[in-house]
Amino acid sequence: MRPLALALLMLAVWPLEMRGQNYSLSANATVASSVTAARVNDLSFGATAIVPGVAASVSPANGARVRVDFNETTTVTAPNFIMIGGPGGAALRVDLVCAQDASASATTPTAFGAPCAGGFIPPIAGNVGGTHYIYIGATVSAAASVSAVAGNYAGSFSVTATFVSY
Amino acid sequence: MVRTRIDRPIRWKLLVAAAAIAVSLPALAQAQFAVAQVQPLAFGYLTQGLTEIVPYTDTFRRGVVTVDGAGQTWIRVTLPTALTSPQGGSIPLQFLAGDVASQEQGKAVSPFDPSTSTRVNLGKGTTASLFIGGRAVPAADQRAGNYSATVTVIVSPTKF
Repeated sequence: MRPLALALLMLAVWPLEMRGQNYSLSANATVASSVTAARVNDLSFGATAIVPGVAASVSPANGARVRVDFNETTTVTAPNFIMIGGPGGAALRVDLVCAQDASASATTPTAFGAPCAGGFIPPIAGNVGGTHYIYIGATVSAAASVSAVAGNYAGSFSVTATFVSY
Repeated sequence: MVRTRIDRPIRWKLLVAAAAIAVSLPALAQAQFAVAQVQPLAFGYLTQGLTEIVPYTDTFRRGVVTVDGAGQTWIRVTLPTALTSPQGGSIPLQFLAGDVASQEQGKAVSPFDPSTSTRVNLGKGTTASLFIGGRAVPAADQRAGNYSATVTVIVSPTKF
């Protein structure tokens, strides 16, 4: 009777083997990239005139300020230098110095690890984006100003945020 | 007490037959129903800070699986708690009573509580469909990217 009992036992155990079958279904969604750069302050050397042949500078903390809102990894860049226009078509080279901080009113923002054109990537981790500020100072070298024509100079430059678009 | 005597050769045949049945029946049971994904649960583009609801009646975005086979079976879905992205982002998901429904071929759609199982009876050559809706709850500053999750559909011959 032992083999028969064994067979019956196996049959009795069989329902335990009738386990469920699993299947997978995917769910998906996309969150669109949302990155903006907004000017907070312009860059100005102020009311004090630049003396030809004497270097002049504005620190990043006292220079231009740009607010960057982002929800995706973003590289923020600015040109390393710009040429601003003056009287009679004169041009003056202005070298830019970039720094960054999470605060809108940093007195000592952290300088970019590279020149402005090398860019900075505001930190983003985990689930959400954030806001960061780019501070841009400038220098007019003595060599650049030594032969500059007297007058008012002005120009513009772009701060660019580059990101993957979803 | 009455005892039935079975000859030794017959007993061995019985043993072999029983063993064969015990081995083959689970395989048959597992092959009894075929489940296939017709379309994924697609929330589409989400707006930051706004809960996106996909009702099971949304024919374009709801998840749909079909169950083919014959007989009675129980279906349950194991639902994910969040969509995740390769960049490390996550979006909480919610599935409430009435977000998931089943429909046997030729019958009305029947919503059920997704935390429980539902029974379907399949006639020969008929199909049951499972419709899966849900809610995605992105944060106000939700990180951009493509998010995904896996819903597991469990088909069992017994209630669970």
